Amino acid sequence: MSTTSSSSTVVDVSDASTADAPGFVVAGSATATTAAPARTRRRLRLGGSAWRRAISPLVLLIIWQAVGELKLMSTQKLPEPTQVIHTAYTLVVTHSAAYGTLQGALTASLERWGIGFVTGGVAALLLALIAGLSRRGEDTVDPLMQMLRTLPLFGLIPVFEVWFGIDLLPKVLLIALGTAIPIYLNTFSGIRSVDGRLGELARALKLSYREKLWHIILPGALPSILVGLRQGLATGLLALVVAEQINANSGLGFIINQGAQFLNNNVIIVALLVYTLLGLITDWVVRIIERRSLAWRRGIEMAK
Amino acid sequence: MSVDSQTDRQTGDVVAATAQPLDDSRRVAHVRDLHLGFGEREILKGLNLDIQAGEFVTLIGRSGAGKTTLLRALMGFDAPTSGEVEITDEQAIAFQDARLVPWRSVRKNVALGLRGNDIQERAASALAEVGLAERADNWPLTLSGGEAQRVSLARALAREPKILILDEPFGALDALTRIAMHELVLRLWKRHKPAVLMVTHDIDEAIALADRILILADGQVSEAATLTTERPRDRYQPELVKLRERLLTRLGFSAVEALS
Repeated sequence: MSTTSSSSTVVDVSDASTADAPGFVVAGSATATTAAPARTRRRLRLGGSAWRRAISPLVLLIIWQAVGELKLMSTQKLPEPTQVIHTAYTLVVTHSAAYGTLQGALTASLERWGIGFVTGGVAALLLALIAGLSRRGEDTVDPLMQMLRTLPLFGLIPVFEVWFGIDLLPKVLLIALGTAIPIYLNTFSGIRSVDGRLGELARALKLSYREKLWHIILPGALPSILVGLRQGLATGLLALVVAEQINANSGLGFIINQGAQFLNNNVIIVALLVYTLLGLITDWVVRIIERRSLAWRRGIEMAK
Repeated sequence: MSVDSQTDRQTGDVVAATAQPLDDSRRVAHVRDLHLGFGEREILKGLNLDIQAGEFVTLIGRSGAGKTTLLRALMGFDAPTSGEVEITDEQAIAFQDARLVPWRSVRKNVALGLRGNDIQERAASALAEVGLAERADNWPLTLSGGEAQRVSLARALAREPKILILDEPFGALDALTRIAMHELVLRLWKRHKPAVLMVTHDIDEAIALADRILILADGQVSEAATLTTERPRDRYQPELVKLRERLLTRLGFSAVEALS
């Protein structure tokens, strides 16, 4: 092994690179120090944008109130916000023969929605797993789900009434179906679109089927599952609204029906607002779940 | 095994004259007359390959020569059309793209699929060996390319493989990082002594690391050189410069072509 003149040139080269090294370090630390303020600035800007986003809804509320105050429109048709709040308060504290109480109606609605959502959601997840994890499962389950998907959900109402009567069952089934379809579709496609290279990795690491499912497939499909969950909650809520207006004697839909009969728009608007609130709350819950369970993505999102 | 006689004469004492005869009992991988193709296109055409315990083999070839196809056959991902492929069960691979599971922490990535006792300790010590103990609880997406590749190495090493397969593991890294990775790989190899089969398109990398350099061309593997020079190697050493030129020629590469 000859270490002659050639190795001395190598030493020269490495000397030059160590001489450069401090320069590298300075450059590195400089970017590190500028990165930190950039992040705080970003957070501040987000706070500012949250405020800016609150402006237009507030302006709308003021205009709405003004329309009533200035008698531009009959308050019977469009009660102003303060009146709506008052009606809501009255519905909560007094039990009327026509409407019952708001909290009573809410409980009845939540019960329907809860049962429908849980049964529909669980069924959809199971079916999507069966279809997503095996060819035979796909061939069995997927055609049926694709058929169900094309059925107009609310067109089923008369049929459901004939089959299941007019009590809880048809309503819950309608909600379950509305919830299940988006959850199934998203979960199925989520499972199928997990990066194939990670499947190869699972083979290389000799993972068991259970390990592969738990560490690769399900977490890989989770973003899609959460999208499905969000859509399912929204469609389920829509199904609840529609289902409740048919032959109900309790619930938010019942309040709306009664309000329409007694020409009481105040009550209808209160019920609609409660529906909206339900939608907002569930969306918020899903967002929190997303933020927690998809924290691993934050690296990319921050960079973008 | 065909040893290029022209190479033999020119090698001198730095590049050994002959490949050592292979000892069956120390063999960790054995491929005979492997044919593999997809549809009409045959990529591997009667390929032979033997790897002994503890030796560092690099396989070079132009892109599209079938390097990855060969590795996939070795890993059992693609079934051969004909021929035999034997490889020890105690194998591990580091992919070119590091391939960390993005939703599992660095520590869990290393521990994934480990069997037996004290999995956590083994994962931790493998991470410490590649100098990333303090990143154990980070998400893979927060790592740099070089760090991700080191985690991938740690994951492979934690399995204590008899053969470590490296599929162009440093191809996507910048030159400085790559040099650091070479040192790391050599250090880990000297300590654990797995056989290494490293696929690369970088001739300098092959010369810097290998006991044996193989060339994959026309669907076959041929012996190119056996190196006995101590590592770290001085790539400007005349014998190694000559070897580099020879390898380039054998890969069918001329300076004119390189410019175009």
